[in-house]
Amino acid sequence: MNAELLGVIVMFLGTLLLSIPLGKYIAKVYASNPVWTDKIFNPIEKLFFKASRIDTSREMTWKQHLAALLTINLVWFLWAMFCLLNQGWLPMNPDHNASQTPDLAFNTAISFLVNCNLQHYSGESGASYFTQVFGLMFLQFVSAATGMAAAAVVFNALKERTADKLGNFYNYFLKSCTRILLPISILIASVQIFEGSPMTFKGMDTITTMQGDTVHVSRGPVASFVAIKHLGTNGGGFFGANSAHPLENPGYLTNMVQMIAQVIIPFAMVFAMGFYLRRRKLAWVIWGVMTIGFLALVIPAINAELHGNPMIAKMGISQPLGNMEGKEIRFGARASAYWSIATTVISTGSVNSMHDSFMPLSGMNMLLGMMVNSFYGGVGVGFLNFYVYLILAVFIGGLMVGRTPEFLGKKVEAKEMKIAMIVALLHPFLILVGTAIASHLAAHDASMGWWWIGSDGNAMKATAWLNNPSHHGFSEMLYEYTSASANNGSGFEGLGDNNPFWNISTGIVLILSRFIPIIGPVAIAGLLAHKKHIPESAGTLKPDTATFGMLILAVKVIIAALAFFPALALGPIAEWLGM
Amino acid sequence: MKKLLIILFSWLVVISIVYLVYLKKNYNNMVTAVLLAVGLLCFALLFKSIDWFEKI
Repeated sequence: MNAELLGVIVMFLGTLLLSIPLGKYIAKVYASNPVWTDKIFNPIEKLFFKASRIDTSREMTWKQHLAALLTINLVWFLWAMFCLLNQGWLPMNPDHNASQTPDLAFNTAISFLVNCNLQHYSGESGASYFTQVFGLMFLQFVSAATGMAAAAVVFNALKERTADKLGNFYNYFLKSCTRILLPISILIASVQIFEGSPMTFKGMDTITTMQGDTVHVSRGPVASFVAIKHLGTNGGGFFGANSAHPLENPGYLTNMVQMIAQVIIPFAMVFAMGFYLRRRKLAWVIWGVMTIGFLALVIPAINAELHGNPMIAKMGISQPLGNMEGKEIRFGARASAYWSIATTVISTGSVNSMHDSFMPLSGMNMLLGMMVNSFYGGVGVGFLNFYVYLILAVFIGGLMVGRTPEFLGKKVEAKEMKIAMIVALLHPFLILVGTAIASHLAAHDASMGWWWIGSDGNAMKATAWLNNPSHHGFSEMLYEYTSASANNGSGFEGLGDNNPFWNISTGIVLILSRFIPIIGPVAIAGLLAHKKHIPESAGTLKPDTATFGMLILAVKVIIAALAFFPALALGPIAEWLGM
Repeated sequence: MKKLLIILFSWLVVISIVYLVYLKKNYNNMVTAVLLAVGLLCFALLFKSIDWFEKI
């Protein structure tokens, strides 16, 4: 037991220790300071820029940054749709996987485009190697780099000066890919290969079991896929079982590496901001607030899983390993609980155990991690989400002390507040409206018509998508929309979600909840950067203090509690009270 | 920005007409066209939201 807990502590502290030098390196990359990777990647980047006729010395306004960001994402959306709809006849398909249906392709394309990876299919049977490599893995790199580049724009805007031009988006974007994501991915993939993950383009392998049965085992370029899946906080598994699959996550070492890989860049981006702006104390305050939130979710979850399921205990069955339903014995209850909260807090959404089988309060904490969506958050976008709460806290703090709200020498006014409120309220709006519609349909057992036609050609009833009744069924629907809106991608499972209703509705939620929370913070940062810089005085609200950190935490808790508590009460809390 | 929006909507209209008129017997192609149009519409709204946020 102690060894398991020690493993969890080592994973957390190891991530922290590695993320500080990585943050320093990222700050240097975005500031275009010399780094050791210059010699390797400068020629490659120059080739890319020359071929695409991009002049990186031409700086962009915040609007130009966003137009560039959306344009390249639009092209990738069309490319992903092409791959998924045509993979049946495209090359690199030794297992003869069929092309995806239009609604599933729509969901999958958007899901990978927005760094969510909400997979309504199983990778081994639903995607060819061509799609996995050139469609999905490509998107895992570029979607992560998109979020990081947007964060870099905000870093630039936060500098204490008045400016309209905030660097070059393509420069930030390509450097995020080549200087940060690619080298670390190669390291992680190497560990995966040495530990037994396949890295091949041969089709299924056939083995004969000790009983004499013949079994076909799916394989493919798994090691490389798993590396960027975690490093980019994407979370989409090569196999349907994700990191619970023995070829995707062979043992405790790979489990630790994958765990550190998914948390390291969200940590490092906060420290990168501190190094970039020369405000290390502010970075530690932000990291401290995020960590308090994370620990408040992960400690009760580990505790709940450690004590096992009381319903099983009532039957007189001993649970010395804790609640092991849906968990892998090679990882144990504690490491699985730690993973479940980390993956929901940082928007990776990969799983090494089935979230549906966790205790209700653990499930609630997973939901809360995604509902707040900025206790670390995804690569780049986690910081952007936090920035919105920071602006809200500055405004409230300014009002409390009776002074004009200022952040890093810039006045926060009505326009910035309106944008911050739109972004902050969009998240609960998409989750709660989506869940309300799905719950209404399920409660009335509505016939879904075109939105869900069964294999027999007849329209299915809405309740058929639920594998659990009552509160747990409600939690499944709430979790699906929360995961989509937080761009997380994990599933509570138990929900029949591969049908037009879920594919299309979550697809629309995904696209809006990805880009509005990028456009909003970049717009706020751009508008603030344009304003006259006011030097700090004795009356300035200092953001790099513990008091201000607690204010941000309070704003987060109040917004999450007010918006989501009624829904949580109907789902996991009611289920817990009924146990 | 306006130019980009015009291009986006032109795509949307062209794809919709091609699929709906010539390929209406093919269920999958029709659905694909509609979903591509939905995706393009979402992107058009996102492009437009940049202006909305500036003028808010």
